[in-house]
Amino acid sequence: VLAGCAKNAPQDTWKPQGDNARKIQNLQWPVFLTAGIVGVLVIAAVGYCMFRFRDHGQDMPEQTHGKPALEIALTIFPALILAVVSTFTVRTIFQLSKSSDTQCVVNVTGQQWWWEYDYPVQDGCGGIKAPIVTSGQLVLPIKMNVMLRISSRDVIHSYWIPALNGKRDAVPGRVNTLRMEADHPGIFAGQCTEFCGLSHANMKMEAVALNAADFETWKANQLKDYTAPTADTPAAKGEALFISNCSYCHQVNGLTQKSADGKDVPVLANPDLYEVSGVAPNLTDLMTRNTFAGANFDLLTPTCRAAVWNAKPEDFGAIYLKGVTPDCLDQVALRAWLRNAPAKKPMYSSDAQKANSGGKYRGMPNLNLKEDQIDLLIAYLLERK
Amino acid sequence: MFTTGSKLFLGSTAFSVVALIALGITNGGDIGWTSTIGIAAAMIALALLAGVNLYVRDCTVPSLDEAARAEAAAAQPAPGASIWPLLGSVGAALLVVGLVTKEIFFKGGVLVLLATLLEWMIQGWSERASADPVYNAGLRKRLLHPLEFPILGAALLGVIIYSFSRVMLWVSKSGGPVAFGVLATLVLLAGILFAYSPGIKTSVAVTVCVIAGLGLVSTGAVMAIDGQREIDKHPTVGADTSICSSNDSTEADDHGSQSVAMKSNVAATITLSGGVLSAHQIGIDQPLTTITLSRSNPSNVIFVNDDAARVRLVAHQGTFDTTTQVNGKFTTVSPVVCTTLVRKDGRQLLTLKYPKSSRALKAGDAYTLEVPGLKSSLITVVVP
Repeated sequence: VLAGCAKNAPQDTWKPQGDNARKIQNLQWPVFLTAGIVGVLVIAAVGYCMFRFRDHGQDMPEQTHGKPALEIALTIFPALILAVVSTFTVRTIFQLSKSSDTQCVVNVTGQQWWWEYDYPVQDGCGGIKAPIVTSGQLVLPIKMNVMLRISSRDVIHSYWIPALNGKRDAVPGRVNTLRMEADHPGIFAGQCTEFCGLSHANMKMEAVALNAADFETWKANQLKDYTAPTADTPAAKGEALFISNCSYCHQVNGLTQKSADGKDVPVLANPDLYEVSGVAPNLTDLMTRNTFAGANFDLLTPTCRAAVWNAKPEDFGAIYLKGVTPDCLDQVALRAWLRNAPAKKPMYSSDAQKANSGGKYRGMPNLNLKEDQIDLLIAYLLERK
Repeated sequence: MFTTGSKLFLGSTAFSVVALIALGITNGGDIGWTSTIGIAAAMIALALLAGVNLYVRDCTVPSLDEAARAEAAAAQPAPGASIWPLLGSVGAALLVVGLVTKEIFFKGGVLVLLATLLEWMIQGWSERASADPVYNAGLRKRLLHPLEFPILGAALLGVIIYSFSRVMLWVSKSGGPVAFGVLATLVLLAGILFAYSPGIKTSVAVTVCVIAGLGLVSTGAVMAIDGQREIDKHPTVGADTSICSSNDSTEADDHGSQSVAMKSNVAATITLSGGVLSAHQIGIDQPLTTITLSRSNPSNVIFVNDDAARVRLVAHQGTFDTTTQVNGKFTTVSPVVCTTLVRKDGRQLLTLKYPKSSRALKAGDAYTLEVPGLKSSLITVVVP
């Protein structure tokens, strides 16, 4: 109960920041109010009767059976309350499941224990000519009816950004839809709300709302060509290290390597060969995000992260689109992750447990990287934006 | 009345009489003195023993002790007819029949025998628990009713459900809603009638329910014997190039279902209309020729055929080098998956899974959904 009084609660269900969440809010507060009044009245009546008619040796009162008028009234009154509540509830359900006014579609796919977002080719979202894949943070334009098409690759998860809408289950083999709309630029926190295994509590997500111009900038950035690191720099060495250690599972779009005959051939990740879920987060533009590992860890230092969270709506886009700069990178969290990922987030990804997963990992394994290798990888990843 | 011991001897006496008569009939009057004397003597001796046992109450109660004769359990009238020997015989018969026919009969026989054994043991014990038959009966009920009622209730429910299912499987798909609509209305009307007729006799209500139950069970039995309506089998997915490459009918197409239970929440609906394929995905109003499906995620796609010809939908899932060598060489694989032939207005479900991103495709290759012979119209699948 006390936790409900917290002021700094980004997942507060009573602070809607979009039209859909507001519809829920407009339904739930009168229902809670009515339920509260009825509850107080019932408890008061019971308390009064218990005290007023307590046993103090008096004679047994007259016993009666049946009062039709009272019984009918006690049936009709709650029925009327429920009828009114159900009318508004059904109306809200229909409003929240409307799909004909969709202006932008995003596929949201859950797996243990992170969310992947892919933006299909479409005329919506201001036009998307090639698929965009990201993870951890859902980026959407403000004041636009975004439809999330939610599914799962393994077990049932549940997607919930309280400030923007209610929950929706992610069920393997099914596509459930959820409307999203944000009033203003900002960042909104969420949490998987269907127990989905060992790291369920670490399966977080964030929705980032940008104004139309900033969203176009973000899209263009996601679709820009790959820029290779300058030769002989730590980042270039990190690229080679990435190819030999990370690219088995993680895709970086546009990354190439020299073949035996000297040609540039694309480096393609094959997470289907190594991961139970068949996927791993696409790291093409990792440093445009604020989080990693299922939005469980910050890429930004606490100061820089706070600057994003507390930015005014008019300033938010510019701050967010700066991404992770060298001075804002939270090296502690990222280094710890690269040093031994399973130690930071339980994932059944040890070799001992691999045998129980059909010879595949469930999450990122410990790659036993040395500190200098971590330095090089970070140098490379820092340029991924 | 008759004690257990006297029953045995009375039965044996009766058997002797029958044997004597049978001997006389089968020998045509030429009866050997030895046989006659032997059987008659046995008959008399058995009758005498029956009388003695009856008089002394199987020696359990002193015949001269009036009080004991009045109160002892053994002095009380012996139990009446029992169903357990009959049921035990049924169990034994099922057991034997099951040994040479179906296992289910054998298992049923074992169950019946075990149930009979339990019931008979407890009944036998309870009937001698005291001299009060009412108390004894109550004792038996107290022990066995908590077992009997749930088991018999479940069995009865099972029979009703099974009968109901046979009826549902017999009735045609179009007739089913009508038949069960009428049935549900009748049940509702009967319920209303009972509810508004407080004076109705219990026997009438019970009779109506029993008749309805018997009607349902007998109808179910008849329909089970007659067999269920023809239901399409569901071998709707092929993964063989020889099947998927054309619209020729194969054995796999003969019984392909033309309807799917999953009506919504699919990744896409692919429609063939006027020789043109188009795709629809939730949230995108206009027909698509390119759809995006998540990588490594089983995606359900419904194929709807609005055209007259029977056709199949084929998913080409790229061409890739194998990751392991076959006969010392890396080869290529081109997996395909297809529906069986879908007739006009039919629909089938295809589950597609693309483990590789579209980026992994070789130049000129693509993930496609197409109908054989209709190369001009296809759906391209993009896998991020």
